[in-house]
Amino acid sequence: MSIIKRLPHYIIMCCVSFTVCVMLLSLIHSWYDLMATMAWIANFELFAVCFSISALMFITDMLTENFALPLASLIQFTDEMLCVFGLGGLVFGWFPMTIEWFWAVLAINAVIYICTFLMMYYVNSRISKDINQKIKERKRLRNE
Amino acid sequence: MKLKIEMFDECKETEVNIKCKELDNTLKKAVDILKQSDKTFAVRKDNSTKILKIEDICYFESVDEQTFVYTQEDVYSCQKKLYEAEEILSDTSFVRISKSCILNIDYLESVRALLNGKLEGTLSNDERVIINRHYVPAFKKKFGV
Repeated sequence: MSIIKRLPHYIIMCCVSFTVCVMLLSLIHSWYDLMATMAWIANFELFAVCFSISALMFITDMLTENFALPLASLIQFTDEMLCVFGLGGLVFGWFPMTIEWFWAVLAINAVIYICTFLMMYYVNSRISKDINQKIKERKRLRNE
Repeated sequence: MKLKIEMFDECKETEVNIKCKELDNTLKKAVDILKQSDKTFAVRKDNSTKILKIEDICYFESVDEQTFVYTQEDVYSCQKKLYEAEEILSDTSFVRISKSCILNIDYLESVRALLNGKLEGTLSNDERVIINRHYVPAFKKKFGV
């Protein structure tokens, strides 16, 4: 199967995680002033991190295709953490590399991960519904 | 739709001509059935070889570089590699659903979404197969979704 055919899933995943990320950080920023150090974060930097997560997941997904759900999810979450800490923390310097910030970033990432995958689950549920409809139609045609 | 069947003794090879304005879903289905009607696979079980029509096959699975053919009741081994089977099965009701499996969607009863982006398909014999995330777009396309 060509790489091009696999791309839409990762583009949607990247867009959803970017949106959830921006919304969540804005929400936290409006409630508390804890995110002052992140106020200067450019949207392009956020997008670069979301994109690198999707790209890394694309690669690890190919290598872990037959892994069980908990292990595959753990690997995906590790992909996310690697990109946020590596690119966001070290390269863009979004937050100081302290233990307090580690837990805060871990919690935010967990929320983003769960929201993104619930959204993807919702999209796949809609797809399943459409396919089940088509299966019924095929059966009806076959029986006619 | 008019259906006309002509039978005569001199006919050496069966020929099907379809006259239509456009190929709608019903016609596409009929064409698919005709295309796969002459495709067969030589399979082996207990030292004997059997020829299976592809409409009798539920799915192909590759395990440790050996290809297995699953029907409703039996499992056979097949000499062909999975990618070779995939080439033969193009333009039929078969679709690749993972690195190791090609499924006949005619045996599919229903699908449901899983949390990790995969789909789970239930076959008419209650067997379950996993449609991996990477193959979901091609799977959707097979149903015109």
